[in-house]
Amino acid sequence: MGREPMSAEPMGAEEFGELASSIRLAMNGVMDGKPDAVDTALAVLLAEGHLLIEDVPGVGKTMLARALARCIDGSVNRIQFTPDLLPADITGVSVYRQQLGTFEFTPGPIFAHIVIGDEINRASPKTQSALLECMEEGLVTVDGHTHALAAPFLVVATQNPIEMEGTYALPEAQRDRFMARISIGYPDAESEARMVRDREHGSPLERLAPVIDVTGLRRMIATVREIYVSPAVERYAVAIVQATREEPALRLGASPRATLQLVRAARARAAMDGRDFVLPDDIDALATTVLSHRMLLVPRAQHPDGRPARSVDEVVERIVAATTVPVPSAGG
Amino acid sequence: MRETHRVRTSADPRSRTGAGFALSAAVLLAVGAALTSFSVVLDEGGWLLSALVTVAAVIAAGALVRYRVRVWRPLWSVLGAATAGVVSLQLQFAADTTLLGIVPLVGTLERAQELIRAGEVSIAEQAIPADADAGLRFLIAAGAGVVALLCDAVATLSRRPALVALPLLGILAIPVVLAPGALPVLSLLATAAAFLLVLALHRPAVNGGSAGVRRALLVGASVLVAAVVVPPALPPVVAGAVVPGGGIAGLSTGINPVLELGDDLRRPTAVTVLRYSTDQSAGLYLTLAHLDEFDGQTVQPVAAGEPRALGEIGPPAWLGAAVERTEVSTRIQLESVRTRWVPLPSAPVSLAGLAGEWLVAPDGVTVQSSEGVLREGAYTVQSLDARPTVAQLEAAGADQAGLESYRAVPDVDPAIAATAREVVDAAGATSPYSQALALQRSFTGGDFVYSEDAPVEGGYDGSGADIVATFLEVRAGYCVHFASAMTLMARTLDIPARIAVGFQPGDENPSVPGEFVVSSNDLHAWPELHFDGIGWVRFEPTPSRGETPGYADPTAAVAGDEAGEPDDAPTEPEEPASGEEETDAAEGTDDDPTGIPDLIDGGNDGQETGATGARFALDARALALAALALLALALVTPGVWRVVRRARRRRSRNPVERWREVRDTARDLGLPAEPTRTPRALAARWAAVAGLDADLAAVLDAVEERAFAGRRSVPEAEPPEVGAVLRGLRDAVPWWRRAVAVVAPLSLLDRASLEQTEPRPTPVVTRL
Repeated sequence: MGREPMSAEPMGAEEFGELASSIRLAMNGVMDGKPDAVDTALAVLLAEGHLLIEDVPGVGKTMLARALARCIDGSVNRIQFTPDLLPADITGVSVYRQQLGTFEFTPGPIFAHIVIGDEINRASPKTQSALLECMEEGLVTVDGHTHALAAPFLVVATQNPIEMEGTYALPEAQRDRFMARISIGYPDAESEARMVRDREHGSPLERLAPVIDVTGLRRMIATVREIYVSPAVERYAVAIVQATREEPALRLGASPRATLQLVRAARARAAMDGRDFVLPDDIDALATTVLSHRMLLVPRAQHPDGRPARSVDEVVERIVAATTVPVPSAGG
Repeated sequence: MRETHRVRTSADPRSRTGAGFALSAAVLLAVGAALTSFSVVLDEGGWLLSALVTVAAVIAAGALVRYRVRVWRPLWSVLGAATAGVVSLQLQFAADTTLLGIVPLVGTLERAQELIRAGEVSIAEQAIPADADAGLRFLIAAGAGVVALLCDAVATLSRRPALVALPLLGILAIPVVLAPGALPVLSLLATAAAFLLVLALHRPAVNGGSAGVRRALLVGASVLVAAVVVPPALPPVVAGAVVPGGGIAGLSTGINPVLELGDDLRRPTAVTVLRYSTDQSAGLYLTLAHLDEFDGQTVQPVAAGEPRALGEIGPPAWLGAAVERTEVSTRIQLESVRTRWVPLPSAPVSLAGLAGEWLVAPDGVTVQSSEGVLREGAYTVQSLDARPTVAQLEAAGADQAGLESYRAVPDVDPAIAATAREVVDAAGATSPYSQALALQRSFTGGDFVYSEDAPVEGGYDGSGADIVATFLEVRAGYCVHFASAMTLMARTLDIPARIAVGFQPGDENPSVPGEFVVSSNDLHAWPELHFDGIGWVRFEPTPSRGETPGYADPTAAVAGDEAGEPDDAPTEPEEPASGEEETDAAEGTDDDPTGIPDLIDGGNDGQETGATGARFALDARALALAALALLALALVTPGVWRVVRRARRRRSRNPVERWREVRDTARDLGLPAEPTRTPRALAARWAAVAGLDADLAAVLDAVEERAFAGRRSVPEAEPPEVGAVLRGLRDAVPWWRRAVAVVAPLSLLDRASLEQTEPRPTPVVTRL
């Protein structure tokens, strides 16, 4: 299977907007009262990143991943990670064909446009690494043969932060591969009630029809790539990331990859907002989602005012709030 | 984090060490240059050397420690420098009390306390230029060491080398404050140059490369200009002010007591110099020195004799045998004064109570210390009160030999001699005495005005021969001018004459009868003329100052006897003196506007009191006005600056400029305007407070397009007006907030204003 060409014609802002809102509409029909999670998921898809969903069981992690997959008329595979899952179960194996007398590669579930990795922290580190390598490189090498993955290629991994027994939590280096981490959270009472009513007659997923095909998605991705990022916004993003490296409450600051992904995600958000340029607001809105999961708090971390820092999110929010937004008078 | 830190310190290229030493040298230069400014307030002496040695020790130790030590460098550097400073001070001032010159013992501390106390006393009591005695030298060296420590630490350990200017300005402020007239321009320039050198040598990369250096140079230059321009422009309000560690500075007379006389008279608050009690019913003139040699800007004291012990020092040789005299005993108690000259009544005979060696000028008689100054204590003087009669004086000639130095007329404007001749001829005076009276009358007759400030303003404040011609033209001055003029004029008429400097009698202490209190305002100078067979006779040409002696005051006869003949002087000298005493007391209490007789000159009449009061009132009013004007200026400046900025930004076709105006207005009004928020976030918050969604949206779109969209080919359309938004923001806050925004626009302080290309307002430098 050859890697599909990624180059595609960018589309106009109007067309992009229409498509984006119809995807959002469709997904919001499935994910009641979670527009932020939907937006982020879509932004990650359009920014060619991978998404980590971390939350307690039953709030719709897998539902979100599957809704996203359903909206796109592309191939979708789902891998349930278990402790005995092996790398070959993900990437595929070379099988000896007696009739032909050759080895033939049988692609694993990773060869799809959207791969849902459920409970990724249940698999052994070896298996996790296999997945993460594919995510980073877009390639699979089995028995000396390199196989390109599908394009677009999105991994949506979920993990459960509560049940830690017998799991292998992803180390920071591997979490860094995900563009964003979201948690979905419990729905509010109204949404939950509506959910009860809706699902009496089967899963809403069943009713979800694909909104866009792979070609359309590629064009959307190409459009996002064209979004303009002004030097002022670049400076702003870099300033935020650098501040995380100097932050005493954090054990390790964010990597340059984080900066890249932050700006890419901001591009997608700008495009979804109907703009052809990125605003500092896009950076602000995405900083926590894109940066937090890459960093760890130091033990007994504190804010400068002496309060204990309870989460990385909190620290990143504070950094964002304290970073000066450049508003240059000369354009560009 | 720790990792990167270690990397930073271990990668320490050799060149940086060299740069570090160069920077230390520059700091040394700067502190040294600043210290030289003390030369305007201190007599020459070892103070500069001891201060420089301390400074050099501190800075060198700091540099060496930084060169050797790798861990906790700032701490060790400051500790090492401080230790070096202390050791240097010990070696210079208390080497004998220490162990091997390094380890301080108990005696060292005691010595330090002594020196500090002595220094404080010096500061409190000395006038300018002061003697740099051990106490002062110690204080200066210690202070210089502290300043050097600060400068060194700031320059080498902080990222803000410009802060070095603060301690340096601290040094420079002292002479500027103490001697407002004598600005040490050279020291100032040298300090500024060294300061700029410090800025240039401070690793430029840290400060943003050449831009940092440029900005530093700009700031340095503007500070320099302000420092040169502002202090002379300020009114000298500090004379007689409280000196640190002292209290009100006492009176001090240097080698030549006439030099500082004007300044002492101009003190806003008088200090009590001494008290004396005498068995004579009226007060006494106390003489400090006689001056006879005119040289340009000043007059030099009469030459003194060899050092000798006191005791019998008179009677003076000049006192004529025929002159009636009474013996007077006076006890003098010194208070706030440092003087080389012993205040004595005229014609002293013997002096008891002062030990040691003294220089006695036999012509006076005056007594001068051979070394050091007389500061406190009491002594008793027996003197002769000579009372020549008018008849004796009328008959006396002025041809006695041996008085050539008192007849010498320096090379001066011939107008002086011409004026003297004119006055004498107009009065038809032929005898030396009547000529002297004519001269005196020409000064007191109303044509001349007493003024302590006119000479300063007119640029002829001094005592020498050069200023007399100017004084005769302007006809305003104080005692020194009157005395100099009359002395010179008498000499042109071939009458031996000299200037006496001392105190007029002062006020009688209301609670202790017979005791007189002499204050710094009683400092006085008067001419003394010599008549054959009689001796030196005091005259009083200064209008409204002092007591005219009976023999020299023809108008006293009018007051006392109501006789019409002006030349008919009283033969009884005691009468006018006591009479004047009475009128003085009566008028003093009536006319004294302040009701504090102690503060007003003794011996002056009501007119003088009124004039002095008015002058002080005028000064106070002028000062208050100036202060008000400054205050008003300070209040108005930010607002005006803000209005100008607003107008320029609203005119700008750049939507970002207009946006900044909106943001700064919000900041001024106390609305959210943090530079850490995005324009969109701010707009949302303003919309929540003030409504204005449509107007705000237009402004916001424009600024986002311009700042972030990167479209260089945007047609230069007129950006949306911000007027409505500004009005809306203003309407959204209470009235007092708007008032604050007008008077104190906080946005002027924001660092965000640095983003703009416009220069920041020049900092207002006020005198420390």
